[in-house]
Amino acid sequence: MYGGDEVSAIVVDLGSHTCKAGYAGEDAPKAVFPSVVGSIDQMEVDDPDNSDKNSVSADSKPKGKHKFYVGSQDLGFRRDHMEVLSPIKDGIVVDWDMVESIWDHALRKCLLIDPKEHPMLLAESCSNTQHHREKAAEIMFEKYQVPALFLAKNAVLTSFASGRATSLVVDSGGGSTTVAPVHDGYVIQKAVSTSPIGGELLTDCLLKSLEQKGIAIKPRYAFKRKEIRPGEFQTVDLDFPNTTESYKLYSQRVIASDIKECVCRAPDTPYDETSYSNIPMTPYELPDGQTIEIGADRFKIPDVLFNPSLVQTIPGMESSLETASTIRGLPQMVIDSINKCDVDIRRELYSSILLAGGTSSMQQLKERLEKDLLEESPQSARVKVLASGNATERRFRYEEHGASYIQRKCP
Amino acid sequence: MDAKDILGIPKNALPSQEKKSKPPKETQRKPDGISREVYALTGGLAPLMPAIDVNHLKRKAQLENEKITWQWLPFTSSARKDDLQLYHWVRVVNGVPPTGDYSFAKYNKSVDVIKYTDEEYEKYLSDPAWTKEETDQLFDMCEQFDLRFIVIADSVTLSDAYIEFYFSVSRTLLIARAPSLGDVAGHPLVKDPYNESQEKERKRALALVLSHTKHQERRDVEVLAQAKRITEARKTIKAPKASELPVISDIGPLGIDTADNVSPPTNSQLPSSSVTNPVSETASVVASLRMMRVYLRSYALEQLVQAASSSAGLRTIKRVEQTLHDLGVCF
Repeated sequence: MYGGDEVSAIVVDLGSHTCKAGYAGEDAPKAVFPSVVGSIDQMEVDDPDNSDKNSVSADSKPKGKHKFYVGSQDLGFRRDHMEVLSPIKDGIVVDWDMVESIWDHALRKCLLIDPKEHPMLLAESCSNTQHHREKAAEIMFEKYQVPALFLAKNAVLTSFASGRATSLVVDSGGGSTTVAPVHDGYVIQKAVSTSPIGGELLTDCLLKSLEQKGIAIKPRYAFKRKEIRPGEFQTVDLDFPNTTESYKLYSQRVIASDIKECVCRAPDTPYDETSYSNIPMTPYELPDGQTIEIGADRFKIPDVLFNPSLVQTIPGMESSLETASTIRGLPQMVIDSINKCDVDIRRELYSSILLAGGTSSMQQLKERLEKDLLEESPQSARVKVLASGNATERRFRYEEHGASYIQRKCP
Repeated sequence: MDAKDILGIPKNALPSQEKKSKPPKETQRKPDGISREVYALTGGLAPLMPAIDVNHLKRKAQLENEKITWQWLPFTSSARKDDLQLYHWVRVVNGVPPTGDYSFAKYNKSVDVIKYTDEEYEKYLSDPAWTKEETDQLFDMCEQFDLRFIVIADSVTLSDAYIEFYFSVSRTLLIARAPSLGDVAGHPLVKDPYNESQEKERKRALALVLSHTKHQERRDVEVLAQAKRITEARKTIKAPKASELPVISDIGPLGIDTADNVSPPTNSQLPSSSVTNPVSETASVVASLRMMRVYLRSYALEQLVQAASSSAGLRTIKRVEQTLHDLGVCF
């Protein structure tokens, strides 16, 4: 026994970019898939090839006018008139039908469990409202009939997974970045700060930047490659006029996101145009065979986390952050958050800063953040930034001592 | 023997090479029980200490005639107030499941928060600053969050000095309920009452220390180094002046801070209090700085911290505070 009890609890974390689900106590979630759904409006279209798929599969939901397609496999298949929609806006759920279909997919298709037999642990954002928590509990108890339920804040789970009751959690995910201090297992709400800068924004910056340089990213469905001679391929463009814009954008984002994860890294010093103008370029092969070269963007894009005003230098992105001037960079958010806490715990927060979220696994991000913080932090505080090895594993190592200590009033 | 073949070292040359070449020495003394290759994995050297003492790992004693099975059985916990029943794997010996409470129930500890009745409230606890509802709410929160005052302050807006109020109420109740004062004199609540002003001072000093960033520290170090150079230069020119420094500092006016322009305060008593501090070297440097109308903010902060933490009189603290206030150091 490593300190926990196996009650076979399930952990579900629905983030703005990906949904993670798995068994409590394991190192990593079993199910990781995008938390967007493909939606086809039933009234508009009579889609013959969908009907036989849907009668068997449990993850498409013919309710009212919409049919939902969940999971990377279903989303990867192009369908006429399929819009890609997200149930989460600004970190909060806005469409519960989509959320139900996502949970269905995770529990019944990916984990293959019957929710009636498993206590459930739901991870929620630090700024989740009471109404949302009640709605989530309602769905869980009434639809899925779980025996027990606990709603835990992301930041607390991350903190416990690293073995600490007090820490400052910097969660840089797909949709936003949240800095939340956790003291003795409770989030200090007044000191939580969020910023709309997340992985998705960085991906969009990269996409626009490449477009401006004349590089068009062809979505995977828009071409096929034929082998005309052994080893030689020819790309043939395919045209699907009924493909929605949102699906095209989604497919392009998937590719751009992969480019970002492969080549981008946080610069050691703040980015400026002149010093990075002669940086050597890194090649990247797009799915359609085109090879592109990426130079300064490798460092400029990640630096948006530290200097949000850089977004306005990317053509096409000027309007995306309305109040870009008031949005602070990551080190400033950390310091502001710590300074809003009681003075007695500040030292401890400085020495246990935890990085979480997909974007935090960017190369050199930890080192750059540590360096920037050492500059602005108090002389007498020791600054230590920690990152877990695997971004998705952090919350699943949290072994709850029994879903048996589930409180009815989740703090 | 074959080890030497593998290592390529001539057999007869070995005795003379014993001290120089380590590998043949180790293969000669290879321990029994493990193979040569496994031993080589450790680098050819035995570990200094065993990594884990196998005897310390607990093993549930299983007698020969016992039958052990693992079953998925329901359980309840005394830590829960409802009767939620969950399932877990249980080690069953000879068809008899283990008895006793849930093993994690013992960790469900909470703090003893004193509860009062309405009459007690009327008699002892009515306070002009706190209504009954506020008092009730405060005590409920203390119970719910196990006296984590930082979290309590975060959840609910409370009047100032709620911590002091909580402790004074608890103390009053304790004394009122005890048959005589002597019975509770040893209780920590009675012995060491919560000292609000001391806590405030301590927190303020800590905040000051923490607000001092490395940036400022570096600037101050530069200024100090510069000042020292100037002092050295002056010393060589005007040697007699050095002996007059303590006198001059008594009557010399305080200088202007290099960073901002603030009118020099007329409080000439401060130099005397700072010179009395035992840091002699920096005192002479600072004194000479004052001659040049340079005043270090960091030094003033150190003063404040020392004053707050030392048992210097209230007057000294007040003087320090007055100076800082005049200089525009806000906190």
